[in-house]
Amino acid sequence: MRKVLVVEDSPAMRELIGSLVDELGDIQVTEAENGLDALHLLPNENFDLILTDINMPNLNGLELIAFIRKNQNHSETPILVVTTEAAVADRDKASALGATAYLIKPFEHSELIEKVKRLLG
Amino acid sequence: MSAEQDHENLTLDDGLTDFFVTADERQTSRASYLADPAFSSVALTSSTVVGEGTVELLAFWVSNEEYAVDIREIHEIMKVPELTEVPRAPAFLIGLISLRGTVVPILDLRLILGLSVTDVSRSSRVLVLRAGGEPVGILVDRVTSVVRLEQGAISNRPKAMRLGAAEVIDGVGRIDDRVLIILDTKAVVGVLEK
Amino acid sequence: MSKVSVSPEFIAEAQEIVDALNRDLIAVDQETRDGNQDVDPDRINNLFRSAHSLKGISGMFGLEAVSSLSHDMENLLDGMRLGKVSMDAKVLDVLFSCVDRFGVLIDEAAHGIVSDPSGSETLHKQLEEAATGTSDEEKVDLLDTIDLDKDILSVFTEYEEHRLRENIKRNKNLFTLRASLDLATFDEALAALDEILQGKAEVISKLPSADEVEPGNLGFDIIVGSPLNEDEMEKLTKGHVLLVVPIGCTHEVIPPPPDVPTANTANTANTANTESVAPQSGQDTGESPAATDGKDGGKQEPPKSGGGGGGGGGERPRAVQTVRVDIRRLDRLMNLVGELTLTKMSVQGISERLKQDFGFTGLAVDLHKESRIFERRLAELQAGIMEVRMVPLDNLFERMVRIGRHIGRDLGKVVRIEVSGAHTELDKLIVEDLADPLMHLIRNAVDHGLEMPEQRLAEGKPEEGTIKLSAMAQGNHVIVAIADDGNGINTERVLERAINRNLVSEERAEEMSKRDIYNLLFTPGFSTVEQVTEYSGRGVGMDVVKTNIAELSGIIDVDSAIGKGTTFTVTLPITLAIIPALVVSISGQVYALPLNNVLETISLVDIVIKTIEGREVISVRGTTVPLVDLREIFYLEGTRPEGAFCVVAGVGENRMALVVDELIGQQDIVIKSLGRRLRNIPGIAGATELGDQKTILVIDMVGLLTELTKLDDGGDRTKVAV
Repeated sequence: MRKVLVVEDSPAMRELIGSLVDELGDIQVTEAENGLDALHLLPNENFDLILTDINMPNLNGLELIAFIRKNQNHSETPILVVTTEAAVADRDKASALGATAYLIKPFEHSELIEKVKRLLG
Repeated sequence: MSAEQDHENLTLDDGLTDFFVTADERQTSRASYLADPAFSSVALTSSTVVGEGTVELLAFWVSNEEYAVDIREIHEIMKVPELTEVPRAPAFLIGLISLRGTVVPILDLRLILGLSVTDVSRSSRVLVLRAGGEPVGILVDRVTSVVRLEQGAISNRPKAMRLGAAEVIDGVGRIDDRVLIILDTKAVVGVLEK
Repeated sequence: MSKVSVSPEFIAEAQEIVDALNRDLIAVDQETRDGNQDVDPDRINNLFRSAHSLKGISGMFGLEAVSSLSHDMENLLDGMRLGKVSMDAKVLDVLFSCVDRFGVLIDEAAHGIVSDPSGSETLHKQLEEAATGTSDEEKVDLLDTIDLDKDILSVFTEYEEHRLRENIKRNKNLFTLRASLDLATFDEALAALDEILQGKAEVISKLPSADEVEPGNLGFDIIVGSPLNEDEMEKLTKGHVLLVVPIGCTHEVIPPPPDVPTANTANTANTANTESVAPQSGQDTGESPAATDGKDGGKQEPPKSGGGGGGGGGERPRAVQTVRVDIRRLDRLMNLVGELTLTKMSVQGISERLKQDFGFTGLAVDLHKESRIFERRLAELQAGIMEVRMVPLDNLFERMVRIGRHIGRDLGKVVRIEVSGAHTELDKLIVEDLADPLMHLIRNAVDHGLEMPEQRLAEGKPEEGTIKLSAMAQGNHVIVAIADDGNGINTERVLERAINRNLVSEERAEEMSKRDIYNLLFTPGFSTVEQVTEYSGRGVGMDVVKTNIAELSGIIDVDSAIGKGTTFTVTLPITLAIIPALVVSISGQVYALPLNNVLETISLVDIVIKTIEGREVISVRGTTVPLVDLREIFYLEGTRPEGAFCVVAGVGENRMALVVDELIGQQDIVIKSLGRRLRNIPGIAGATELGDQKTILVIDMVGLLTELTKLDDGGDRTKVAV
């Protein structure tokens, strides 16, 4: 059973991403509403993949990525940034901070599934 | 190795607790799986390691044929509870039960498979399938055991099948001289949506 | 245009975002009218975030018209929050128009209609124009002038960088507040800190640090900008943070950049903003009295004290603590209450037996007392959960007003919509499902109900047509009415159409009452439109409105007066979650009949049963009511026993008398759905559990009545009963 964390502030988007990942099977999807929410989960869990938005209230995605990379549990965990095409500068920062890959909203369902599959190895 | 095996045992036992009816439920009219003679074989067989490419199936008799479903699809096994009849429903929907607050439709597999129908007996059971979050129960005549099959031992569904039955069958598995007809639980549950 | 099905979650969220946009825009409008030159940056950021979220989800759900418009809107707002574009009345107008447009597009999507983006071209152009503001990027990056770790800067979003620059530009003092917060409760601690800092400092970023300050705790560096000095900041945050570290800054008050005139409209206001920054200290003291009055650090004065406490409190949404809860969770709680009710009944049963077997003394008395208390608390719990589910109709009504105006405008009609009773509360699920039928009724009222302005003037009516949208609570029901002051329903034309379309025979038409004729409007296949317009010709007729309302266990009625107008009245139960029901048995099967639709119960012993055209009828208070035996419809075995009863039920003007063998009792029940796969069994609304763990079916009274009405209209009984 793999564990995937989805951090996204839009409930509909979170639900969509969560269910797409869930459909891959044998994956436990945990959802967090924002970075702060995710912080609660990180110390006690070992996620195999983290999907995060950048623009979120209460701890943005960049701060979350920086934290994840500094956290021993998750220093190597792949991070997939799911964000909009507008935030180019933020996306560059995310990759500088150690995000593994990014996906631009709106995305094709198959795109997400493929990326998730690849990142889970 | 032994430590690893212990670990495996542990997780397998954990998986099994899903099938146990908890103590307080046992006091209700629903009999527990624990009291079922079939249980012992489950406990025995599942203490060995399951390798890759192997599926665990729950085998049971319906009329005079032996069937099986993927054990991960099973939510619970229970004695046949009192059913609430549903008027104007197709014949194979023999009633409803309430399982911890959720309404669960119960299907008579024999009617779906086109087999002869006998009365519910002492050995009859209801297998509650997970069915994607909205559980559905199927009535079977007798639960036999949990078996493990290599994927290679499962052949595709035979071409010539009874009408109606073909749609709900996933394949046929052979273990020693037993022939297990493996049900496609999605399709079984799907008959309700037609 | 194409038809698709869009998920209800999406519609709900999109609607919520549009409502939020509307609210924030209204607040910004108010702020600019009040002469504030700086609009609250949080507000602009909220607007930006809303547009951003809307774009994200609409893109995912294939609503290109919404996503492309919100994209342009996001662009504009992004420029605004980064200080590149300024907010003025003209831009506000464009933004308001966008929100209107979103409303329409989302309503359409809710009906499965997807328009392409070309319909919003003007708005796109306007947004684009507004967004081409001048960049006032500094020659020297202000961020280079401060002593802040590059690592920290690297996690700032563009917006956070901008806020940091703004604070430097305004010569605010910058601090890193280091806090060590308990892992379990850090969000509350951070919220508490936010509250303390509110009005005294701007939180630019909160950074969690991976280094454990104390075991079980999480370290946070909170970067703030504030007019307070170090001592004041320490005093203010004492007990909340470990350390206040000032961030060094080499930036000095530099004169505002020279005014470079450009052709851009947004620029003038922009420059004005920059200039107003110049008298630094003066403005700062104005904003925060605590800055000059440092010795008074203990007493926390509200910010902007000059403006009065009321204004300050009202504009911070943070002050109201709300939790968004998935309604399914409430359903689960309600189910638990239902199950507790069963437990309660078992306990009371035991108490009764104890009383009978051993006398009402000692423990029996205690148990009796305690179970009474249990009952009361349970009732309170149930009421409490019910209360949470209830929402006022105001949001829905607001939307209706917007839609009504919009349609009026498009049709060239002058429409005034008067709303009353918008505070009336209903179960959230009902409110959600009410949106569609209500929208249709509003469309109908504007499109068909009201006349064109010229015609109104010719009739001696005011040019402006009025639609009254009202709601009021009446016991366990809420009555929503939509009344127009238009021409009224022409019964002759209705009859003519109904006869032409074979919906009613000529003989039958002869004997129809006015009310019967009005009810023809709800017959499938009927439509009074002479000309199919954009708003009415969508294939959704009044029959669908009626069905939708019936699904909510509601009824719809219509009344009309020629020349005076038409009123549609929708009566709805307050909730569907827990309802009183009559438990009865028929041929040994136990059923629950929701009391919402039950008028009375009569013993069949003293009643004369007549047979008309092979159908049994009885006379109830002078009205002939068909007698319905479920044995026939549900194919139950057995025959009607002597001493049976009948339950008279009514929906709108329709009546039926349901034969039941035995009345078992009345009970509050929680209706459980039979699940996705069984939802289409006619005549069954769901299932419920009784005290003895037995599951029984709940009869769909509205469904049965509708079915019978169809039979009356010439349907073949056996056909429907399958």
